[in-house]
Amino acid sequence: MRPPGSIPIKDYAIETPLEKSLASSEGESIYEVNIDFNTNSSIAAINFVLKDEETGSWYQHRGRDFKVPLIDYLQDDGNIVGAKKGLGTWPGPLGQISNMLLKPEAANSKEDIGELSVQKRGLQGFYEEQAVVKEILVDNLVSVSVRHCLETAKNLLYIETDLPGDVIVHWGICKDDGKTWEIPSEPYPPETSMFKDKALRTLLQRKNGGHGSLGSFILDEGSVAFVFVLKLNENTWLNCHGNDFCIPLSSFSVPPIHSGQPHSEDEEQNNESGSLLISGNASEANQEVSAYTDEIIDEIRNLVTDISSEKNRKTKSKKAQESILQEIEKLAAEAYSIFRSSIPTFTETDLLEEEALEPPVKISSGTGSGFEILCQGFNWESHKSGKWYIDLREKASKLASLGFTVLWLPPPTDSVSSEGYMPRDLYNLNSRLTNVKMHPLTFQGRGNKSSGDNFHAAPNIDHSQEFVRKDIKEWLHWLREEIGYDGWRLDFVRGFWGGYVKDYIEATEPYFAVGEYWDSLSYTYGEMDHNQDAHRQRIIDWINATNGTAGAFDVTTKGILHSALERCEYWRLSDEKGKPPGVVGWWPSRAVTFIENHDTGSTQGHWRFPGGKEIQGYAYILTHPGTPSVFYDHIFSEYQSEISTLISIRNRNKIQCRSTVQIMKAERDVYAAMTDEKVVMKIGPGHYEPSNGSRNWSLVAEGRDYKIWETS
Amino acid sequence: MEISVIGNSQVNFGKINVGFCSFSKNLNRKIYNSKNYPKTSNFCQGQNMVWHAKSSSGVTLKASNIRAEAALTSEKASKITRTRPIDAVKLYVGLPLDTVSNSATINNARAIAVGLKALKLLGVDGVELPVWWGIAEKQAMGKYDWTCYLALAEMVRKTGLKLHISLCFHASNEPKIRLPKWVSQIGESQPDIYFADRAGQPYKDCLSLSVDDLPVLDGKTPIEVYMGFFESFKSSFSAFMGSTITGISIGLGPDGELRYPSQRQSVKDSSQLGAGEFQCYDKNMLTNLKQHAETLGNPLWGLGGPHDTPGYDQSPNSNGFFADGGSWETPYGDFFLSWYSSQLVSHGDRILSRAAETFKDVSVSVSGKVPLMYSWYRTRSHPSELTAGVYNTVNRDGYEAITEIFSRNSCNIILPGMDLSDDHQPNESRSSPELLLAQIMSSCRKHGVEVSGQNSLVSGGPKVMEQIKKNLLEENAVDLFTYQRMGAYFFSPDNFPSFTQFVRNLKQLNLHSDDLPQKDDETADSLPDMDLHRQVA
Repeated sequence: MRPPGSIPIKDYAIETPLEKSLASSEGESIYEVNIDFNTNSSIAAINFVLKDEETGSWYQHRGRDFKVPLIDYLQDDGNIVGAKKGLGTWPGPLGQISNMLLKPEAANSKEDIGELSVQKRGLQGFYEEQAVVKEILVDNLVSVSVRHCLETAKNLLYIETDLPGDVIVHWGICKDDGKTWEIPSEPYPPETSMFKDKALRTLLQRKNGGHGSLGSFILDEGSVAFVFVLKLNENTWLNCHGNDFCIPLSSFSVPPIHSGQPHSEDEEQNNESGSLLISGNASEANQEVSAYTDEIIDEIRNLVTDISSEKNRKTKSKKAQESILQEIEKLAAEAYSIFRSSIPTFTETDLLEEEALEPPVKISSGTGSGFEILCQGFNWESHKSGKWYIDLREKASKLASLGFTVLWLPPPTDSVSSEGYMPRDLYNLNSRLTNVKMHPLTFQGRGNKSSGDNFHAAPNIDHSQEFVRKDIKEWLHWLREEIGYDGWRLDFVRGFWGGYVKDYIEATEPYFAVGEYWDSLSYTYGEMDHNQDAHRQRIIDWINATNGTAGAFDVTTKGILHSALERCEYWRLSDEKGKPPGVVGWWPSRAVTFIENHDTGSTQGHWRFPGGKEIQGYAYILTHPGTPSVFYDHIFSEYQSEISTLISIRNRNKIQCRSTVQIMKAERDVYAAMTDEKVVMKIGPGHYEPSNGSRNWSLVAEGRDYKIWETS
Repeated sequence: MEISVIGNSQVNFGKINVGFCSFSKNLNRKIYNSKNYPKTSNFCQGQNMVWHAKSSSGVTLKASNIRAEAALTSEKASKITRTRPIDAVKLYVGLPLDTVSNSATINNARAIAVGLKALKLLGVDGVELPVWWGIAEKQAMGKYDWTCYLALAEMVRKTGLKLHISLCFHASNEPKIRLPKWVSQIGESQPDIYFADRAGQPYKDCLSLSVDDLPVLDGKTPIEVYMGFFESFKSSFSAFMGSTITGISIGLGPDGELRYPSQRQSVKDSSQLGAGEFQCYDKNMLTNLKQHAETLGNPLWGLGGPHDTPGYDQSPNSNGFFADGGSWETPYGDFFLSWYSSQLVSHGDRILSRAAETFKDVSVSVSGKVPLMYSWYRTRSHPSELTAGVYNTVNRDGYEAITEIFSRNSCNIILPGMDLSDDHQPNESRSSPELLLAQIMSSCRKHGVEVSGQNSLVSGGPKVMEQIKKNLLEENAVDLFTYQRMGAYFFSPDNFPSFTQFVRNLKQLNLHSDDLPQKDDETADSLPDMDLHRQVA
């Protein structure tokens, strides 16, 4: 008589799974089990209990086993199901939804719990519906954060929850500790209405595309607390251990300390969520539970983390754990940045002092000596030669004689792409670099850093890879100490946190470090906007995060030069305040100006500088503050002599990254600027001549659409 | 949120309470869990209740455990075993040494607040806060300023973490924290309040144990001054005692450790080649030695310290004292070493007994730190331990006497070096942190002294964490581990991920043991008990 799938449990019970009934209809699932037995057998009754495999919950009848009598004289212990005289099977009405679980105690307190059932009795059998109350404990989170805005003197309160379905917040404020609800002043969030003059009722907005809702509330400063309860539907209210949720607003007092740093304190009062009360209370259980729609319970079921099973709890809380880990990571990063910045190794005051000093005294990794001129010593094809470093060694003296001080080398590691990117094994310097040990020898002077004409090698580091933070400091150290590199070029994805870069840089003390923060300039209707402040601000922010220990490629300037030169819109080269519009106009000492690199030029040609106008570009960056970088392809091209002239003008006039520039003219077809009152340049087809007033200007360089003068 | 339990019967309720009690040892962890699994909030609430009741009645944590266990044994319900106390290691993180600065302000308060939150979310049980003599009693004797420390305790309490206080009667070099100025002023005219080495060089970072009971501090003895410090601390922090503050460790010497300042070279010299020098040359130590020798009828032995000891940076084998068959094995050596080590032990006993007395009516544990002088451990004479004051050689267990005083005063031992592995020791120093740790631990077990572990190195990383974990899990004696310490490096990408992993591993292991008895549930036949689980778990 054992149905298929039955497993004996010890020697007194059988476990049989319920099968989905063929009679299931209209989306309603009915599960059943048929037990066939011989009526002539001596079975007095079939006893059973139900177990929910998913949650591990057990369901009983009136605190005891369900009992189906098979003979009519069985003693009634009060838990008999069906007719005392009836014979037959009892198909359990255990649909997923109406499957209301009967807690053992519940039956005790409520005798007639099963009475909404239809009872059919007959001689040959009976059909009886027993309601079981299933109490589903779900794990939902309501997180409330409060932000105090100093400017408006208001608190911004933000509620976010993963509760499914519509969530209505009934809320108010307290003006004293008495917990009496008061109606706050407007404005209210959308979907807010008054509820019996006592509370406000706000429907939280559903989150895009996911479970859960959110809402934000603006509160006056005078309130002591924000009080609320949540309403899911007519019968389900969520509160905090029987009380209202109460979010204190009168600030999280960090003790009277720390020299008045004006920041807002976030207080997180989250996690006060808990078990959803599904079943109302016992006396009403039946009706109300059945009032639930399938949808809600299904959704809830999906979200359930049932308390009864540790095992389930573990797996299901994984998600929660992940979000907690993310939060932890965020907090750690914040703590890190504060602790880090408080270490007095490199402070802003140092920077300022340094800036005030006459050049060139201090070497800072953000600027080098301040007089650096970079040569990007490779292009996208350089790996093809197979012995790039050897070729470069041969060219090094040439480069040095041209006036370059820093040579930027391709990534020196064995790489996934043969171009040298994506280092696979950081310590393997085999690709193309068998002779790498010789390059500190190749280049003049790692010493004598103050002379301004020394020569430094800097490899490229790809920060977009996962390995980055792992061993990178060691590796950099090794490159710096053992191999003799003097600095880094940090190739990173947007958002790579500058604070970590600072860490590497400070740990490895490079001579020079530069990062690349690449994103799009802003355009309106296909026209580049004149104001690119947002773009350069993002780059500045990154540099700031490194605490100025690294410079950054001035992508803004490159972009603006593109438009200005290509479309003859030289007016773009002055911002609204009459300064250079790129990073170089705001933080010149950390701006590495360039017009092309291996990504944009070369055979990659992602964003190539307007053809034929390269020298105008170099005339601009080599006469302007910032640290100019010249692309390899341009050096070894027909432009070499012109570039060489421009570099010698820069060096001769001691133009450096912090030089002052004054824009003389920025019109449609001509741009002119004076640097350190020693050099005047103009680019564009239009006419410009410096006026020979107090100074005597003499033309020292001239070419297609550019002229440069020096004072004599 | 509250869940209304349908018709909860009285019988069950009683059982639930038993469950509460038995959880109390892991209170922190459970509260953490309740944040993760909010459905346990009803349990959490009950738990808080238990906690308050406990603190008001002044029952110590330990005691409550015993109570819970007793309740369990009497219960005997098979299902309830899951709620037995888990033998978990509590995990603390040290706050920065200079959390409170010399000028009595909180350094990086924002970072600490954020850091505390991160630790709390991570499931760390508490933090350790160094409280400096030179800061809290900076102005004048008996004039205490606890403001910042109180503010910090409040921050910790609000975050829901526990707090272990380290009372530091020593000075620190990095960061620079001095002894109280009024003490160092006295030291200028009376250098004999400090330890001195054979060359007469004073060690100014803590007071010599020889002045413990001499009225050298403006008519008061250092012990009296320490007592005053304890008392003031106790009354100022009474609101936190036993609730937020769970333990207090008492500074016993250099770096808070029960030892002589035998190593003088900077810590950066990691080779630790030398074994250090004896520090028995301040005036009072010498007098004491002389008297002791005379009492024993060997006045000549009391004229000074041993003459054949190597210098700080010399190898212990370079001179006769520590060599195999050297002076240390002679009757003179035994005389000197016995005296030298017993001075240290008595000093420890003096301070610990006072501290234990002071804090006996608040439910906090009192502990002291024992040094891990692991270099030259693999020699016969153990010279590093000898100079530090632990008479531990191949012939003699020097830790017995030390653990004995901790046991007598019901104090816990804090042991550093849980992160050190033998593999990373330079060969020539013949050191063995692991063996020494095992020796001390076994002594602690023997005397029933609870051990709190710490790491010694600043550098973290997965390997170090692995070593710590090994020590914590293998040696079942450690009941609390304090990771040293919060700061920029701690939260750096080099360290924090591996620390996170470490915490999760520890907690995960706890969870496993937690889960074990659950298998029984599958064949449960007693349903009311099943239900109990759902309530309690």
